[in-house]
Amino acid sequence: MTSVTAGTATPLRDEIRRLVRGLCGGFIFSLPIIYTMEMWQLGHTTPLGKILGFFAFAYVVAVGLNYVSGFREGHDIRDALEDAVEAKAIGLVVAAVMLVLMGVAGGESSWSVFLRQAVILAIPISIGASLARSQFGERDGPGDGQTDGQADGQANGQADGADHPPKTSQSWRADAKDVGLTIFGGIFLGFSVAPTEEILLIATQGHIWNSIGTMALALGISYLTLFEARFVGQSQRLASEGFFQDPWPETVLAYAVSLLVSGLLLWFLGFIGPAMALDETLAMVIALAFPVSLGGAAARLIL
Amino acid sequence: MSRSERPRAQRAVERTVFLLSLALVLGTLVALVWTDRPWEPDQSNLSPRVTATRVLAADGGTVIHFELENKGQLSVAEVVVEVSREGDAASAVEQVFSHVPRGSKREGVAVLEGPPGNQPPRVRIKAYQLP
Repeated sequence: MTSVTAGTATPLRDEIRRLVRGLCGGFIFSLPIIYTMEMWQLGHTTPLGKILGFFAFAYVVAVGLNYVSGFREGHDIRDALEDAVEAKAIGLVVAAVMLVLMGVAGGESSWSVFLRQAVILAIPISIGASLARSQFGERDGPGDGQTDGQADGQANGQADGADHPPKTSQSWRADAKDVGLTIFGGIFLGFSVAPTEEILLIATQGHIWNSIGTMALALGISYLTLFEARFVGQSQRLASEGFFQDPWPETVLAYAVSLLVSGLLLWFLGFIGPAMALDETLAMVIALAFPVSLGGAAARLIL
Repeated sequence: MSRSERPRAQRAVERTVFLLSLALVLGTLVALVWTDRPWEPDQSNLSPRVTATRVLAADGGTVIHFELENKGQLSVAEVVVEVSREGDAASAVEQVFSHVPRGSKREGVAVLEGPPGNQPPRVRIKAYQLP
């Protein structure tokens, strides 16, 4: 098993890891909402006062969540306030990136509408980010007081240690399990998005660069979710053996499976077929493969 | 460990990330309010008004003089004025005014084919943009 990162515990690495976990959580928990056109249209119709008011209300909710179940040991109200601001920032970044990649931003849409859409979408995304940071972080080892970096050192030590001799004969079993979980999780999350018109809309209103960017983002977020964000279950994943259990080969293999699952879902639902243009078909498959790949990553992590 | 017990370096990193996040959030909200400009009058209060002043017959056509007046609170750009015979959309011609400051007037002339009819011509603002 190849180590993903050096197990050095540094404050910067810990903080980046917490941000990454929030980022991944924001995507995983909110992607079906992000892929909903009614959410985009709210940017055109919702009054500014309402948007700002609900944004503030969501901030208070996030502060409450962070205070009740904050990630840091010994957290206080100030930590909760600061974490909620960071979650909001994550939400804004994720929303802006997705609005651009989905082709919703740009064209005839003005800056005002783009900002409104980003702030509205940031509300559920930031709640997902807060949840991921506070509830789904891995806290293995003696006591909860250790930092991510310390836990990371343990994880890598476990991965490289003598307690886990090579199990080449059983590696195919782990690979098959990963493929199965990718299909399972992908169908689970993908089915909440696949039957909607948004996939067709995203495919038609986007450019080829939107599709390429979506592919890169899907690969990146899947990798970060499984191997860098220190979600619950990451240590076990790092300890798995076999070529396809290495981070990047596994990420690429899982994404290839996600593309297949996405294509099958769209074909099953009647959205694609032999009569459809190839570029439009590919754009739809890639658009749906994003939630499918994240669902698969979440399933491999949890199960 | 509580905030005061955390290593200094860790607190510095946390503070930096928090300040960057705060800047992003506040910057976005300020930009949102700035682009929306709720303190300015609603667009629907803008009233670039068009009035047909004279209708003349000339060389088998109809010459229509009109006046464009911006009585709203904001200057407007790209005002598209459409002139047509009443009930005959196919006769429409358009004239574009690139910039009309608030409180100002502009004059325009449109020529329609055919002699003037019994009905007065239809002159309207088809579209306009805020600068």
